[in-house]
Amino acid sequence: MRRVRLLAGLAALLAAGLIVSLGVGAVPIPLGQVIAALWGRLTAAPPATAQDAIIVWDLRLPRALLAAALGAGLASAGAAYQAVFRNPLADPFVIGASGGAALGATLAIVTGLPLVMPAAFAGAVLAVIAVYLLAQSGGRPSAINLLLAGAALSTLLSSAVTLLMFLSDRNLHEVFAWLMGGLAGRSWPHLRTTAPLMLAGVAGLWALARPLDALTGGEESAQSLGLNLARARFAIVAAATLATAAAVAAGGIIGFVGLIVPHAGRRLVGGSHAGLIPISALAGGLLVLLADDLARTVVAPVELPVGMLMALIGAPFFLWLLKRG
Amino acid sequence: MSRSPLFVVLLIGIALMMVAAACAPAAAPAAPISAPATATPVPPKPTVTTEPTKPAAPAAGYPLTLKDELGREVKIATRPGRIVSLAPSITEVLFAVGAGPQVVGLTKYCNYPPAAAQGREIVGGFSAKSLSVEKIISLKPDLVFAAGATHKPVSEALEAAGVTVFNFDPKDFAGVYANILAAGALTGNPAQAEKVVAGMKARIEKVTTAAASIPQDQRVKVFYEVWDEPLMTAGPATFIGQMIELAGGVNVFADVKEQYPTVSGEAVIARAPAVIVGPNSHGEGLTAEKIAARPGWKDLAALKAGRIVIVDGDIISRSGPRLADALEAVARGLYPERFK
Repeated sequence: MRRVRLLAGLAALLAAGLIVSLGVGAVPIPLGQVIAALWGRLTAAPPATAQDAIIVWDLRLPRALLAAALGAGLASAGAAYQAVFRNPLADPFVIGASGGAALGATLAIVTGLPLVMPAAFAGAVLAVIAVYLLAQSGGRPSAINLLLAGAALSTLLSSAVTLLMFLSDRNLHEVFAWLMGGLAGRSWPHLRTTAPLMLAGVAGLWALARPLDALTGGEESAQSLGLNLARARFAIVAAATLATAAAVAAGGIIGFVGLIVPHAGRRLVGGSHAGLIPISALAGGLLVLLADDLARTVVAPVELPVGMLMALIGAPFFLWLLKRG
Repeated sequence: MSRSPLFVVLLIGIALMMVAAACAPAAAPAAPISAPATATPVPPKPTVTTEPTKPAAPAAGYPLTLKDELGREVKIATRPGRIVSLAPSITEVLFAVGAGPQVVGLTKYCNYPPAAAQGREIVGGFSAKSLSVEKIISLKPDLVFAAGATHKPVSEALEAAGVTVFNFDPKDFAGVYANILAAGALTGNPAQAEKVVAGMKARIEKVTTAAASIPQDQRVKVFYEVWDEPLMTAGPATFIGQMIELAGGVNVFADVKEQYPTVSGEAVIARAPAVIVGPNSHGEGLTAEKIAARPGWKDLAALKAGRIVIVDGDIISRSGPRLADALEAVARGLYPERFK
């Protein structure tokens, strides 16, 4: 019951956050005009002022939805990896997704190909597949092998990114901005291509709540519960990778949310993944949404990278939560 | 975990970014110039080309001591026969004052004058990391021109090796004039330097005088797009920002303190620029079609009127003698009927 109330409360907060997000930015728009602009677009009636409608509908709405989806994807992927590896430091990028995405995006940027999003997505997926294959010594990959292979491959991929950045000092700021993560300039096409994948990943992880619970107890106890360990882990990693790769493709490398939100969620609803996955998704979505609102407004008209800002506000909050116990 | 290598990448990125930021137009944080044409240090100088040239005041001969833009007293004993330039803008200054034959080394980006690189050694790129101190020392230079704070690690290594380094780091047009005169004095070409500065001043004054007469209500609002992803513009303190104002334009981001800030697209739309200006060195190449494809941009006045102005990225970003060309190009772009 408490869990349902929490979920409903968070969902309401997220919905309210979405509406508020549409009003704030470099150009403040009062709530009434926001609603008029939305209504105008939905009913094809002439909007209040064309500029408001453009800003609310074409710029802010898709970006706010993308921020929420991205936060949801990263936070639930983080929760899943923390269970699979029984490691509180695991995050969505623990088995190479960020390194692969960074290399893919950097390659696209330095070669001037307009394929940064698909390249980042493909890079993330390929890196995780590579880690999975590399970790398979004698049959199935153990959790520790996955972690080690992930760390080693991430280092390799990051060095490759560094090398590319050294060799191409012309597009440096573009690579750099991508690595810092941000949602500037994201619109409907980005949302259409990546949000369904993120949400599919979240749904998949939620459906895998039971095997996630079993894995939290350790590999042996999971096996004793009659779980096909290899198959369960593969399904979880696949769903988490889908969400992570899509999130990274959409917003660059946005850290912190996937690491911290699951911990906060565990404090709220306990370790059961049937509650933890949706709580993490909603809270992660809300966190990224609010962080992006701040990124768009604190030094407007200048924009800050959202990942940096989120860590800046999120880390002290988490430490407070930790201290409170 | 997997985060630590990423942080290394980011740290290196930050370092390189600083270099890149300094790389675009070589200007450091400066007091924002207050505004229109009247604020510029362009003393009236009617006829310049036929005026007999006199030696520059500080350049009575050698030995010679001049203060560079890092505030260091630099002493030159004799006319330097071997000079190395560490920036494309400095190379342009040196060739303009007639010190080209003395230049023995330059960077891979020094592409003007076109023949500059012929028969001369490439000592690296623009960033301090990409420059080879060993290569520079092996050229046995009498004098190295560096671009201020950006090149500090290189300058320090060179000075430790006994090489004389002089820094240019101009913040405005007056700074560029001072650089050119200093280059003339240091290289033994003071007369030519005075001529270059007089020529620049005359051309710039012509633009600013004409621009000053443009009524306030006819001044166009300008968005200067440094880059598309992330969307970056130029603040008022940069040379680009100063040129927009000198040419009689109104920079829609004249209120930012940063030099090359990332700005939000909605702010551009809300500020409704009548003209969008960008360099041809721009990432994907700036075209009306590409800009119109961005969400919400196609209704901008600048796009409806087809007023996308592309300027030569090299001349607009280099604090050298061709800033006069850059200013004329910006003025023509903003007011085609006034500046033909």
